[in-house]
Amino acid sequence: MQREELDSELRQLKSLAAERELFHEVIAAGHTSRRFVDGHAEFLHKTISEHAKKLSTATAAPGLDSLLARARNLAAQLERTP
Amino acid sequence: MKKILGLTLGVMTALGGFVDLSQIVFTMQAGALFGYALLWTILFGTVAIILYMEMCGRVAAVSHEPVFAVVRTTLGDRLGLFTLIASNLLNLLTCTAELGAIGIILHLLTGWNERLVLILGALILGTLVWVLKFEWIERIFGLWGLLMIVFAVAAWKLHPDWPALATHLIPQAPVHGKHETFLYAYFAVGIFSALLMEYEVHFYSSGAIEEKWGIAELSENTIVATGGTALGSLVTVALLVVGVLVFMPRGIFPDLLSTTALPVLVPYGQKALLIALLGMLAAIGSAAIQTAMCAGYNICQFFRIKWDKNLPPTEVPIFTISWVGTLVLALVIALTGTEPLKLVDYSIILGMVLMPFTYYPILKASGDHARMGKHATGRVQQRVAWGFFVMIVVAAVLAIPLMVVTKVGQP
Repeated sequence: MQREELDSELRQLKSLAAERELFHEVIAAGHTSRRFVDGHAEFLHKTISEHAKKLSTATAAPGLDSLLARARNLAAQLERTP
Repeated sequence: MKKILGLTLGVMTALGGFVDLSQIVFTMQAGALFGYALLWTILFGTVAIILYMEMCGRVAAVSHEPVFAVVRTTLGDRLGLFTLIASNLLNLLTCTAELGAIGIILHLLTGWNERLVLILGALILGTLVWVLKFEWIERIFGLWGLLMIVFAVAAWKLHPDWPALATHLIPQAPVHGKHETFLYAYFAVGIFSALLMEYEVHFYSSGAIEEKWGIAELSENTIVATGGTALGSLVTVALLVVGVLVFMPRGIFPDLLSTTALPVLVPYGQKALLIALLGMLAAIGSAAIQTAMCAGYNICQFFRIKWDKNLPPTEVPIFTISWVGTLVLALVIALTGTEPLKLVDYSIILGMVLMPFTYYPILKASGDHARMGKHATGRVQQRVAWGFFVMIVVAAVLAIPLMVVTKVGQP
C-alpha cells in the first residue's frame, strides 16, 4: 500500500470511529428504534470488518510499516468495540 | 380550479419524485467533506435539469416525439443504437443500486432478512407497475416522496449558516492539495450528474406522451418542470446542509445508506427517523420503477414499437418484457450482494458520460422551427441551454479520469 492509500484507510477508519460515537450518543438519548439500532450496528460492523480484513493482508510500501501498523491497530480496536 | 389543482399536484409530484439514491449519497458526502463549498453545483444542476426537462416536455407536447425517437433521427442509427444500449445498461445499473438500497431500508424498518425483503420489495414494485395506470404510479410515489421534506425541516432546525450558504452559490475552489482538488472536482461532477440523471427526464417525456399532452399543456410543462424541480432541489440542498452540520464537525464520511438517516435523529428523534426512512423508500422505489420502465420506453421509442403503460401488458409485449426483464435482472444482480452505494457511484459517472448523447438531440429538436413551428424554444433559452451543453460535455470528459484518480471518490 502506498502512502495515499494508507492515509485514505486511516481517514475512513477515523470516520467510522466518529460515526460509532455519534450513534452511541443518539442511542443514549433514546432517539432511535431497536430495529434501526440493530440494523445500523450490523452494517457498521460489516464495514469495519472489511477494512480490517483488507489491512490484515496488505503490505506497506518501504518506510510505511508503522503507518500500516497504526491502521491495523485502529481497525482491530474498532472491530473489538461493540 | 381543476387546472390549478392539477398543476399543484404536478409540481408536488415532481418535487417528491426528484430525489434519488445518488442525490442522497453524493450531496451528503459532499457536505461532510467540503462544507457548503459545492452548493453551486446544485444550482447549476438544477438549472440544467429544468432546461432539459422543459425541452423534453415541449418536444413531446408539440411534435409528439419521445426522447429516443429524437435521439435516433438526430444521431443516426449506429450512434443512436450505441446510446440506446449504453442508456439501458445505465438503467440496469441504477435499478440494481436502487433495489439494493430498498433491501437495506426495509431491513432497517422491519429487522427481517435483507435478501428476503429485497425480493419482497421488488415484487411489490413490479406488481404496482403492472396494476397501476401511469398517472397513479407517478402520483403515488411523487406524493409519498414528499416525506423527504423531513431532511429540509431537520436542516432548518440545525441552524445553517445562511450567509455561507448564499456565498457558495458562486463557484469557488477552497481546497488545497492534489488529492483534495481532484476529490472536489469528482464530487462537483457527481452532484451535477446526480441531479441530471437522464432516466428522470425520459420518464417525464414518456409520461407527457402517455398523458397525451398537446400544445395546450405547454404552460403546464413549464410550470411543473420549473416549479417541481426547483422545489425538489431544495431537498437536495437540505441533504448537503445536514451533511455539513452533522457529519463535517465530527469528521464523518457517510459511506453507508443507514448513516444518511442519522441527521434527522439528532434534532428530532425516532418519529423523524421513521419519516426519513419511509421518504427514502419512496424516493428510491420511484427511481427503481422509473429506471425499469425507461428501459422499456427507450427500446420501444427507438425501434418505433407500440408502447403505452395504460394499455394491458399483453397489448404492448416488448415494452412489458423490457421493463419486467430489467427489474428481474436488477433483482438477480442485487441478490449477489453487490453494494448499492458502490454501484451508484458508477451509475452517476456513466450517466454523466452519456448525458451529451441525449441532451444534444433534444436541444436541437426543441429549437428546430421546422419541427416545432412557433413553439420552438426561444433564442435566450436556446443560448442558455447551449451553454449548459458545453458544461455537460466538459463534465462528461472529466468524469472517468476523476473517478480513476480519486479511486471512486475515496476521501
